[in-house]
Amino acid sequence: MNACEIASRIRNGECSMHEIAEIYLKRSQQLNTKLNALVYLDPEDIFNQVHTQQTRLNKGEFLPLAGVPIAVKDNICVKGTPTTCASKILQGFRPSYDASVIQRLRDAGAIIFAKANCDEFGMGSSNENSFFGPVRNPWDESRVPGGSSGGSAAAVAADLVPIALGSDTGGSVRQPASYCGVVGLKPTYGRVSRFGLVAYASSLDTIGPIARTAEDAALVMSVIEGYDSHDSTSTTTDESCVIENNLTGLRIGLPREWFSTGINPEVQKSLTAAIEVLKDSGLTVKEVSLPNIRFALPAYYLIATAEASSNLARYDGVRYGFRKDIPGASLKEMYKQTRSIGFSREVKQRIMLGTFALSSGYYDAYFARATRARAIISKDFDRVFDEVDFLLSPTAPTTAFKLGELNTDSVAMYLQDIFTIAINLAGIPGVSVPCGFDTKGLPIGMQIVGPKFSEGRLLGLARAYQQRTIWHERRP
Amino acid sequence: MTTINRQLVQHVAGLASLALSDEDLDFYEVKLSQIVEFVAEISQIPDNLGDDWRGDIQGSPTPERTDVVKSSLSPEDALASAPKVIGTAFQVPRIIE
Repeated sequence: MNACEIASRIRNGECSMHEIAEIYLKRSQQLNTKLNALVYLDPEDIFNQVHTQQTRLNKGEFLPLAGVPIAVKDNICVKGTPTTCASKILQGFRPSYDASVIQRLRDAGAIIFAKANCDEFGMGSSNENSFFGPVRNPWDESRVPGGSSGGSAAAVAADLVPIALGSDTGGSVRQPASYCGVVGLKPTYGRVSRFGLVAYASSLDTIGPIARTAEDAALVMSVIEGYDSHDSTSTTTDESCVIENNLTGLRIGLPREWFSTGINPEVQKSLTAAIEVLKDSGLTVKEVSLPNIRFALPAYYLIATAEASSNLARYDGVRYGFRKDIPGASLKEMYKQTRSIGFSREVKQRIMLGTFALSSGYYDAYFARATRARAIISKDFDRVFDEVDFLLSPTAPTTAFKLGELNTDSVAMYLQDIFTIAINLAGIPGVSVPCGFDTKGLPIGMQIVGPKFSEGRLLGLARAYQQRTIWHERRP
Repeated sequence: MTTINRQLVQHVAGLASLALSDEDLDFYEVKLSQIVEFVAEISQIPDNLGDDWRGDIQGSPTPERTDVVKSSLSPEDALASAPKVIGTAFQVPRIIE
């Protein structure tokens, strides 16, 4: 069942929240041992929530997500529940407050079901960089689920939960959604509050839903979006994420620079077929240009790591999480030992790259230039959205790769995000929708991108595509 | 083109409050060299923004709210996840020699 159906059936009295929770709990306990998608699940807490929400429903409250179990990426704070960002350095941390998105989900009747595995602090494209160990792709357990929200995407794909929250800083919702054959939405920057999302790169981070269908993603968006005074970058807009039906005459752009990049032939073939489906639905398609898009990846890795080096400076063994005490050691030495042991190699690598980019003598050549590149790339998107309504691309250049396959080559791993990263730089929304399978039986995703606050249209297009195809109905 | 050497890696690690072993220094010298070589492409972007362009004043204005005093975390909540606590304070190693 999808989330819309679960909530509707519960509201209509066709099933109880307790029955739904039991079904998903049993399935999660059976399958998670193999997948490692969920890192925290407390049956007692789940049934306490069920009791609270069922009582509200029985009193006649309208709950749009009545009894829908949702997995939450482990970098989003849930009050009293371990929140580690899959890092040793946050071992034992239990937030004293709910993230704003969690509060809104609770208000809407959802059950905060489990914490989902991820790459440490959202830094990775394969979910292999986790203190809890790698997540396995439900379609082929020898392969990665993508990252960094790999646990969230794998959990939805394997039906451990009907929906999940991920976070997307450079593609971390869309790329794992593509690898796992589910829908993943990266909203407009600021449309969903970041309050309670542990910061990686504050100017790029967004929280987004992962679901089986565009309708489910829209339902979650309608609950979690909106201004929040706790987040100074939260945007005020009167628009709400209502899925749009009328798509006639809309124009789709295919950036020639993206389609001349090394896309796997099977991915390319699926995209070509998907474009034909959209044409048959009454949309027009034309080639467009994003002339500076090749600079997006270097700009992203300089800006994201610079912000990470600042954001992660707070982990010093004093206020929360892991601490390495050495008798007689100074405060500074305690900081260094704690951070050196608490962070993984990948996180330390990104902290050092960011520190380098911000340091005296290198700032102008690296960080300052990256911020200018970001502005130039954003202007390219503004210009192209005068010509077309949406852009289309693969979500990732390949399907899911083998565990360990790209571990030793950082740049090759970073290239998995080549189509998603520029979207975060420009602060615009993008959605990944399943659009086929390769000959190995692995899912392929297409990315649809629109201008700021176009989520309703994006999801309308995604829904229209899903109504004409059956890719999202396949199960691992 | 910037050359990443062992001294630079050590300097950057110090700025980032990281203690690196000899093996780590070797590892990051290679890794950071590869990545810095890759990101150096950024210098080639055609830039017509003008000399007076500043990244820190771009984008949407920050929404403002009324400055109202509200309750915050209690000391107990703030200290709840701390590795070491004395009374109502975080405990750290001695900082006065």
